[in-house]
Amino acid sequence: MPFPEWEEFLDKTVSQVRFRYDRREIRRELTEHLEDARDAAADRGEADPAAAALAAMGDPVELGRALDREHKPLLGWIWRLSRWALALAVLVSVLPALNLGILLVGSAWEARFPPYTDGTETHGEVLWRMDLDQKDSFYNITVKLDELVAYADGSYSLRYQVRHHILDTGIWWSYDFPYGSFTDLEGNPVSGGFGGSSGGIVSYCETWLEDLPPEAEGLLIRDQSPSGPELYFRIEFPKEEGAAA
Amino acid sequence: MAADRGAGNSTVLLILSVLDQGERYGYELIRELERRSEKVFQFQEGTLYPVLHRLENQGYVTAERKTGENGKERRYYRITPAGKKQLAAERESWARFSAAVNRVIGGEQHAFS
Repeated sequence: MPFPEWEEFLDKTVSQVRFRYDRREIRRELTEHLEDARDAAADRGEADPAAAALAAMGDPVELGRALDREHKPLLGWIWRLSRWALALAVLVSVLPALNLGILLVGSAWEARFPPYTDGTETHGEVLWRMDLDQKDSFYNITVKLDELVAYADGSYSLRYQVRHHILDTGIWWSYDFPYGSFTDLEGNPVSGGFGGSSGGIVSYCETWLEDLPPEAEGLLIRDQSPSGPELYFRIEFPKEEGAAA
Repeated sequence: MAADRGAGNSTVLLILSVLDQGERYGYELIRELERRSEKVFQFQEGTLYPVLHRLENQGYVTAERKTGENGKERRYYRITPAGKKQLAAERESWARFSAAVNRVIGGEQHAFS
C-alpha cells in the first residue's frame, strides 16, 4: 500500500484491538474500504483521492476502541479454543473408530481362518472331532465352544472363541479356563492346559486335555467366580466314537 | 423506553433494511445508505464496521469473504433469519417512535415518512 497516511491510520486503529488475532482481518477490511473510497474519489475527479478516502473514515482511535468492544479478548479466546476443541474432538472420535475398524477386519479374517493348531504331529491321528455350538457368557465376555478333537494318544483339544462385546472399550483379555474347571461327567477332575490364543475382540483359544479317562462319556466345564456368575458347559461324547469322525 | 430503543438503534434498522435486499460489503452498504437517504445519512465511514461486527456477534448477520461480480474480493455481509426477526421488531419499534414524535410535534402525521 503506497500511502503512509493510510498505514498510520490503520496502525492506530488496530492497535486499540486487544484481541490481536482479529487485527489482520480488520485491517484488511478497512484497507479494502479505503481502496474503494479512493477509486470513487478518483472517479469524481478529486485532487487527492487517497487523502479524501482517509478523511471520510473518522478518528482512528475512536474507531479502534469501538472495534475492540466487538472483538473482546475473552470471547475471542473462547471462540478460538472452541474451534481447537472441535478439531480435537473430531480427531479423538475418528481414531478409535479407525482402530476398531482395523480390529474388526482382522477378526473377520481370523474367523475365516481360525488359528487353531494341528496336533497330529505330537498327538497322533485324529480319532474323531465333534462340532460344538455352545455359548455361555459372564462379565463382558462370551465363550463359544467350536470343536472338540480327540487324538490317538488319548488327548483332546478343546477349541473355543472368546468374544468381547463390541462396545467393550476395555482391554480385550483373552480367557483360559482356570485350573479345576474340567471334570468328566462323574465329576472326576481332568487337568487342562492352556494352549494359546490370539488377542482381539474375538480370540481363538485351545485347551489340551491330557488325562481324561478312556471310558469317559463326556466333559463338564465349569468356571464359577466367587461373586456368582459362572460359565457352564456339558459335552457328551459321541456314543460310537468312530461314527462321529 | 420503546422510544429510546427506536432512536438508539436506528443505525441497526438502516443496516438490516439494506441487507434485507441482498448481501453487501461495507463500502457498498454505506453508499447505498447515502443514496437512499438522499445524503441525509452521511457519517464517518469507519463507524459502520464496529456496528457490522456487533451484528455479526449477535447473529443477525453472517460475513463471508468472496469475489463479487466486479472481480474484487470483499467481506460480504448477509442477513440471517434471526436478523430478519430483529429487523421486523426494529421496524415496528421505529413506527411507534416516529408516530409518537409526530403526535407531539403536532400537525402532519406523515411529515417524516
